[in-house]
Amino acid sequence: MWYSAGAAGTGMGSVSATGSGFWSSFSNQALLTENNSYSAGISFLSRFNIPELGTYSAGLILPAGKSTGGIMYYRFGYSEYKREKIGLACGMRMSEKISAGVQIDYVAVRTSNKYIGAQSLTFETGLLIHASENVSVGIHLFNPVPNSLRKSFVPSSLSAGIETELSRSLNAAAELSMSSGSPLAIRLGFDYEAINKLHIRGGFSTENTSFTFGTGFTWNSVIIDLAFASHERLGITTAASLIFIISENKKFAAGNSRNKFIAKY
Amino acid sequence: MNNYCLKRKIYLILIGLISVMEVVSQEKNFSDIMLSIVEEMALNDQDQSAAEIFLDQLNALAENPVPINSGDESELTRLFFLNEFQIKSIKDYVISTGRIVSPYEIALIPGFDRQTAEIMTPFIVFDDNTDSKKGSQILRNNILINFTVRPDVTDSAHEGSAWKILSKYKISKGKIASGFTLEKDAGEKLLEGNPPLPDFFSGYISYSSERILKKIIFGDFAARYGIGLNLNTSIRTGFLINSTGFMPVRNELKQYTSTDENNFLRGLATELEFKDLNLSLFFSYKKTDATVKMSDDSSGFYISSLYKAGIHNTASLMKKKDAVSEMLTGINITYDFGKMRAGVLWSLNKFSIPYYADKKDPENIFKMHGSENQIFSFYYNRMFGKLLVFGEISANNINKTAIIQGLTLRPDDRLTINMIYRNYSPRFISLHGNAPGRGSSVNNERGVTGNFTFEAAKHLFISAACDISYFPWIKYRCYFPSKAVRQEIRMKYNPTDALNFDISFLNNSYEKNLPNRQGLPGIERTCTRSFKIQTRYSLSDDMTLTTRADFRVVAPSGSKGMLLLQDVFYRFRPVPLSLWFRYCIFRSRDWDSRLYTYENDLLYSYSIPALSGEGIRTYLMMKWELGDLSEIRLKYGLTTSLTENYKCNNKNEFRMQFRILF
Repeated sequence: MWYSAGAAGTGMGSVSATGSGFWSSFSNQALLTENNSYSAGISFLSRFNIPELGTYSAGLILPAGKSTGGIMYYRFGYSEYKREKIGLACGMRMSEKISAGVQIDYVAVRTSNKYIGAQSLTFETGLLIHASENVSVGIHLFNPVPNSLRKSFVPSSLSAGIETELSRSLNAAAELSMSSGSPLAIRLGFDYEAINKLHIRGGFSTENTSFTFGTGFTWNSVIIDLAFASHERLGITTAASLIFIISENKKFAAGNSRNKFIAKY
Repeated sequence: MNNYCLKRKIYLILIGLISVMEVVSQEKNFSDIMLSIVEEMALNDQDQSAAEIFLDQLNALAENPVPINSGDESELTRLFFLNEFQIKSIKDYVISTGRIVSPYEIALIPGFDRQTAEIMTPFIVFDDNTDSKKGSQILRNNILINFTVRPDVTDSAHEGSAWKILSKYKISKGKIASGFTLEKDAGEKLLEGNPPLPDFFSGYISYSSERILKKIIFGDFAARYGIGLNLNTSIRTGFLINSTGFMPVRNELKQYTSTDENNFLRGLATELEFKDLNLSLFFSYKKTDATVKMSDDSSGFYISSLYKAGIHNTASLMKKKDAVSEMLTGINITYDFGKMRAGVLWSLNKFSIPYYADKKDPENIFKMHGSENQIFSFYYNRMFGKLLVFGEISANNINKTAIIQGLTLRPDDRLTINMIYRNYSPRFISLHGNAPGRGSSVNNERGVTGNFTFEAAKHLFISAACDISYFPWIKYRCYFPSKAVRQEIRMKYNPTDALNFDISFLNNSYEKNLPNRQGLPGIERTCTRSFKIQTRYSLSDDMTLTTRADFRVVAPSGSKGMLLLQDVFYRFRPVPLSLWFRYCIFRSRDWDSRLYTYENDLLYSYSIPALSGEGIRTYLMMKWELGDLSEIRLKYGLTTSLTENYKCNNKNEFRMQFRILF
């Protein structure tokens, strides 16, 4: 996987094509338009508590009117083998119902001297549709560039999901996702605001029959998320992330009735 | 000044062109049910051309849609998927209520629902002043040229270029129509023979009227009588699921415009109608493809098998081309008794040299032996209130019969039930028959099929089907009497006009030889289970998104296949440009678990690639319309297969189409 769903997404079964948080904006760039605050975040995901399989991510979101920009960095692995991605993203509101986004990626695989590393440029794109007041549909495509045009193989992936607001405090999402060389995955998740500013999340993914659980808490301008995901054989994955709301783009927020990000946090 | 005038002229021409272009025609997308049927047909190894014929028929119908308000039964019956109830219901509705103005209104007619209206939409027009009806004396020409090339698929054994070229021309004025079809498959020579012509050339001249001489066709024609046990060179009647109207007993005699190089008739056909009596006479004489061998005693040549693929791109395949002459003649009489319609058909099929299939192979014991085949048929349909009963019996002689009997019951407007029973003797021989069943030929099959379609709640449709077939004699890859079962259930939910969900489950089991076994083959029961989920969302008339996931598992091998695809259709309004884009990721362990997906394509061309292995299939197609005058379509498809060590193997495909109407 070439992105981090953040601890919030991990807690919701790794649902990535929909959602309205900070990290989902980098797994579907159309979701960038749902943010109207200058914000920054860092995330850490420890697979099975093995340090060599850790993922570190950092990102920055910069709203600017109808468009929102973003920069992200992702790193998986350790000194002997690591995968890195640097992305420059832009999301744009096309109409009342539709948003679209694109991200230019520099991806690299670095290994110890014994093996050859690889680096490549690619892009990813996403679409967000507000089908109704309570239902959103997200589609995300990563690396549509044919691999024959580059020396090294970078997997492509397609995700399509739906998110529905069942009540003011409960959201549910479902997603189908498939990467080249991997089986089709079904992901399901929910986010429940149990008490003011405290979220409880759960989910399931058919990838490795993984059940997930997570929680999130907002404290002033800081959002803290924590999540756990099970693996049928290898144990527990832990994820934690911090998001800092730097300042709100009030001009834009006032005109954006769909801004769930601010409503949520 | 001159420069200014020139610029001004160019600007005015562009403005004029764009204003003409703004007459953007509605893109006619076939319904999901139709496309599911097409994909099911493509899965059938024994009858690969069925999907092509079916799509051809859909394309032809979309090109010449039925004027729904005409009230003319002969026009309405062109909607081959409607049953007798529905045809009668539309006719009565138009007479009693007046013109139908939209597809939504069709859904309100007794016997119809939104699902059926959706199926019909691409094939109907609400204006009854169409070309076919008004007997217009305006001369109309329709030219279509398709080019297809797969640059990565080359074979040094092929004698011609890798381009596939299809050209169709039709000219009509009032009751007279004429046209021809030219086709060259990939690897075939562009022109060959004397006079030099492409590999396939077909043409016709037809006259039709409402008088006694209803129709006369000189040249190539297609015919279907009854259910098709005796003669059906068109699509097969009777499909498994959602086939409420796919089992009608309906005669059809029409000009041949398809590209199947063997399954058509060439000669003279005429249809006469006097009050309730209808008489058809036809005579066909043409060359057909076959494998011809010399007899063991060198006394003469004989046909060992008929070659139906229509590809002649190597020296050995060229030998099969037009190897024998085939004559087919017949007479059909149908009488309409009001609530009952019955007919008899006699046909005689004769080859220039005898047909002797190799009888050392037990599979061929009951195949044709000799140069002549004669079939007699009787067929009928009878309506009893909400029950329609239909059937056909055909025989070569008393020991060689094929029987089919079915019923359609519509106890309520929201429920339709179909049942069909068939018993085709292994001895029965019909070389141009095509009737309901699992096999590609009308013999060696006994079975029963049942299905229902039910509008369970508002916007929710449930349909299910079951087919049980027995094969009393051995058949291809199955050296013992065998059994096959197919079950399907489908749920369709259309909460709004813009959004629909479609979920289907198919279970298909059959018996075949156990592979890799010495001596007598053992029996292996193979079971394929497929699950499909699809969502279509139309943001507006100009943009549609479709997401689909397929999952297939084959037992006992445990092989699995799966795919996820995203389709985007977008039409630009300022310019008459439409775009289709697909991105599909697929994965299947082997050929048995391959998946088929229908792709939007050029008119009269089809693409249902078999996705096997691991990879990505993507395509982009654009259509540019120049008002009602012409249309250009371009398509680029790319299939990337992942091989070992993550190496990629690409297969490109280019398609182009030019269409001119004047």
